[in-house]
Amino acid sequence: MFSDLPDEIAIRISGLGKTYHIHTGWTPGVSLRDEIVRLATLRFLREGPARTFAALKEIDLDIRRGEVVTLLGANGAGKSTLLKVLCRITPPSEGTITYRGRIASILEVGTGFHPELSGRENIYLNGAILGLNRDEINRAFPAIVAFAEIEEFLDEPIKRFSSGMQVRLAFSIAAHLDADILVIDEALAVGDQAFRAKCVDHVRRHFFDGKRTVILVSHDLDTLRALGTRAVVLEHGRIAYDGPVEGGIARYLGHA
Amino acid sequence: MPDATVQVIGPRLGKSDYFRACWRQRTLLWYFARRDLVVRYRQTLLGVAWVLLRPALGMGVLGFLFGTLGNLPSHGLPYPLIVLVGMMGWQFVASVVGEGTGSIANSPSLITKVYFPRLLMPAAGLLLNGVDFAVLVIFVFVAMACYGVFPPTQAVLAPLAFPGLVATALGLACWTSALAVRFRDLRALVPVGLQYGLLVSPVAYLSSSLPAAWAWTAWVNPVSASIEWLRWCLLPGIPFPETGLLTTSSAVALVLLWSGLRYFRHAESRFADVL
Repeated sequence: MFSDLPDEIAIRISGLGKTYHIHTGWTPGVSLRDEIVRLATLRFLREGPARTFAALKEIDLDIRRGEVVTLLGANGAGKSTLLKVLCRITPPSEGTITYRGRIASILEVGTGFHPELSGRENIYLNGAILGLNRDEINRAFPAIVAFAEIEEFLDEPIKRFSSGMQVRLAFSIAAHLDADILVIDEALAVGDQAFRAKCVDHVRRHFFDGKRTVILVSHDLDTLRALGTRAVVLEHGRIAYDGPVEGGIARYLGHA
Repeated sequence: MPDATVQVIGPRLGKSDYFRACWRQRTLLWYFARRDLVVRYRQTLLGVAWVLLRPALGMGVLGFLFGTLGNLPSHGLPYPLIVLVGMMGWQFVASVVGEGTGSIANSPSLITKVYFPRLLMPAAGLLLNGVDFAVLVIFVFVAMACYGVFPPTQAVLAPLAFPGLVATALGLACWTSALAVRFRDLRALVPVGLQYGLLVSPVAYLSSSLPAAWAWTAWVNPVSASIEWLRWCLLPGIPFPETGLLTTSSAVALVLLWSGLRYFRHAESRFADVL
């Protein structure tokens, strides 16, 4: 697909909307029998049009290369939906996102880990899920292991890891992705105090190089103040504020 | 970094973009297969012997039922060999479909948190069970040697059965894995279907043993072309399968693959919303 994204723009969101259709009386994952009954009894004719819920409405946003954008908003304001669309987990209903380079997201704890596999095997599996090929994982491997501090347990099945170790490993894999755009959703609030400080420091040193773009969601306002260069506040699926971090936090707290 | 490729996320993803993305992340296919392989055999008593257990049991039990009790024709061959070659093709398809059905529905955390072409999940079973298939080929030759039966020259054509098996397995697995996301029933329904599918497919008997009124069941069965082809290639004295059966059955397998991929791609974008 052709596109004309200016060099300094990392992500251009235009006219983005996401609408969920809520069929009354139909819940996903119900049994085939229910669906057959619904069709056979012609109940679907009487259901009328499905109720719709717009999680995102007319989002327009340009994010420049090297920015650390903090995304704020109450529960249900559309933060997660926006990140899901950005990470291709769910398609938008309208509008487009144009971006340059590779987007990677830091997974929630243990997503994609398999408990029976060793730490080493999980690093390769998780790296591949995040879109790396074998050479790229090989190159990042020593740094991932060192950062997560799991050298001695590398060949143990991950089910024997403490939850702290699992979290450290998960963060470490994602943090060593050579991504141009990094999405971090609450993932900095991991591990003990010391590891958390290390994560914040890592993000600051590696992703503040003016080339990488970071989108950060966290309820820890200190983290946002320390790392963010710009804040976007979502309210009811729309952008309610876009500007300096302090102003964004003030707006967010005023509505929280 | 300015030279990095520009990509667009829109309401629809083009077909060529999709298969290009699958190819880009082909490493993942390998890692999914390896994960399933390790998980399948770690902490098991019999380990890799499981690969041989099912066909060996099938050969014994079905060979007795159809060969000894049923006294069905075997063209002068030991009846268990007829069953074994049938099981070879059947088990590949049944394993890919059986394991593939839950591949998406059982991984909601992965599907709702990170994107990769979902097709890689059911497709990983092809690789994993392809390895099992290779082990089984060796077992078949050993069993034939034990019976003193030696393959005819057309044995070199046996690999031609594989595309048909892959098409059937992947096509069916696409359908069942995508449907299982919406309908939990599929996870209970598929094992039952496979259990009886084994009996209504020409696995434990030659399709030429079917009475004329029922011959069409083998024609429309997507696995029968591959199975009958394998038998003709590997076992001496088996006549060449009917051309009508080969073409019709192969055509059904292709339609299955085409429609399965189509439906999967159509359903895939909603997986994260449904799970």
